[in-house]
Amino acid sequence: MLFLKIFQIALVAGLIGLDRLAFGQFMVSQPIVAAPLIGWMMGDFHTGLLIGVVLELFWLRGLPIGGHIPRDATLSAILTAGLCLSRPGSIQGLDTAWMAWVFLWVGILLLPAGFLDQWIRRKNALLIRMALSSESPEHGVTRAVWMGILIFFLYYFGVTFMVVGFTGGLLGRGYALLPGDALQGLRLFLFLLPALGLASLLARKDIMQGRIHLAAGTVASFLIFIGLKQQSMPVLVSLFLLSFIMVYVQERRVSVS
Amino acid sequence: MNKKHLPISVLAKALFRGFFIQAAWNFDNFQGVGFVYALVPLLRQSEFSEEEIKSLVKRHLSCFNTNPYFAGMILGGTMRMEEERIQGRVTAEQIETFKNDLTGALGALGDSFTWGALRPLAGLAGVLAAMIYETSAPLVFLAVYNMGVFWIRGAGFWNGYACGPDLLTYLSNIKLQKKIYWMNGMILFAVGAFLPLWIMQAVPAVGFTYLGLFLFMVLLVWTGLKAEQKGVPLLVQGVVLLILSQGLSHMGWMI
Repeated sequence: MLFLKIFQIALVAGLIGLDRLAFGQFMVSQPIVAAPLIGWMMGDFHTGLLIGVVLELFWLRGLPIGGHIPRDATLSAILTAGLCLSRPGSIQGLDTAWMAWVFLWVGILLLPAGFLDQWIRRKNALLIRMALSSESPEHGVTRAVWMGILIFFLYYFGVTFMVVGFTGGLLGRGYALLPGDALQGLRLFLFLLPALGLASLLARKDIMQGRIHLAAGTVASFLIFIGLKQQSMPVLVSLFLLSFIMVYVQERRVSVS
Repeated sequence: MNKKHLPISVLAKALFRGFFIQAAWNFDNFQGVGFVYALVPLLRQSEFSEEEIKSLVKRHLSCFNTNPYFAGMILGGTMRMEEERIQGRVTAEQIETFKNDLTGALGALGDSFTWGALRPLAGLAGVLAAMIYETSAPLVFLAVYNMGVFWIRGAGFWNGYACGPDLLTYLSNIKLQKKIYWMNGMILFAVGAFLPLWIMQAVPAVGFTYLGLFLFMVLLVWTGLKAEQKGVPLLVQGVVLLILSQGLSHMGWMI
């Protein structure tokens, strides 16, 4: 049963991988979509979503600019969600320490997976020859494109099937040996992880031009919380106005200068 | 080629094939194979000779690397120019120059727009949605992101075909830089809104005040920002955070 589930996950991972690498780029491959999808397939959407949210924030800055290939956030999300939920008896109420443990393992695996990705892309140069060598160039190009799709599909399918299918048991045994303090540390680690993703996003010079927006967002968020706690509509309204005034003042300053 | 302009059905097929632009991505010609694949409807429609098709395919199999969503603009423009080449108004060299000039410009602009602004914005919108109504998060992300890129893909391709070599005029009219500026503002607003909400979700399980945890998180973001500016890789930062978390848990911090 579990084998069949893992096979299904690997198939879906292959299709999600195509969205990232080969077809469409509709961003179904982003962690916030891919991980809940895997979670839903495994019967725990909530855990999938939690993994998706944390990883989406952690990989917020991965920019595939030019020929640069960033770390594979998609594979990270699929493998983390797949491994987390393939542990027998893990459905509902999953411990975040286990999630963090799996995430660390997947983080290590991303390094060889990255090399494999690069190797495939280097070998894909053969597809140009395939396109040119055909009698009809039109058919040659079509064949090369479908071959590229098949290769990328098999890459995601294969990596997911191998990792989720064959490393989960080992990972579980290692986890069982961890002392209680280490588990607490892992829970804390997962909770603090989004801070690194936000920091890497804020490090961009183009984004940090309007710091007032950052402050406005924080003020709004705090006041919304207070307003909700006290169920006070005037507080909620005034806080929205306050945050918009802050942003407006900033925009005026920019347009004047 | 006996028609002045291509039929809508041919343009629609080319637009759809543009979704495959990265299918054979490689380090030699990047999206070159995918670009030629998208040109196939043009080859089928026209009355090119076998030799002309071979030479056209070979020409366009050269290095081509731009933002995948903005590639449609260049594709549309190239189709228009290939039509005009048959009518003797444009040369193959001019088409090559057009492509080379635009791949760099649209690559930089497109990456700033989609990867730099739209994707983080959609991601943060999805995360904030998850805190309000969790099942909506993936849908909010997909809606915010795809609304932006469907416009770029559709309108970009069509205007690329309509403008041909004058595509740069169209680009300057759509004021993408201003849109990026506004999206960056919204990203910062969402980041600011996220931190308190994230902390408030966890506090009931921790022996901490909201403010204390908030200040610690801000300090962590600030440290991460400085590390990023110094060029410390994200994975190294992750390892340091793991060690820090283990140390704090030994001191009695709990989540």
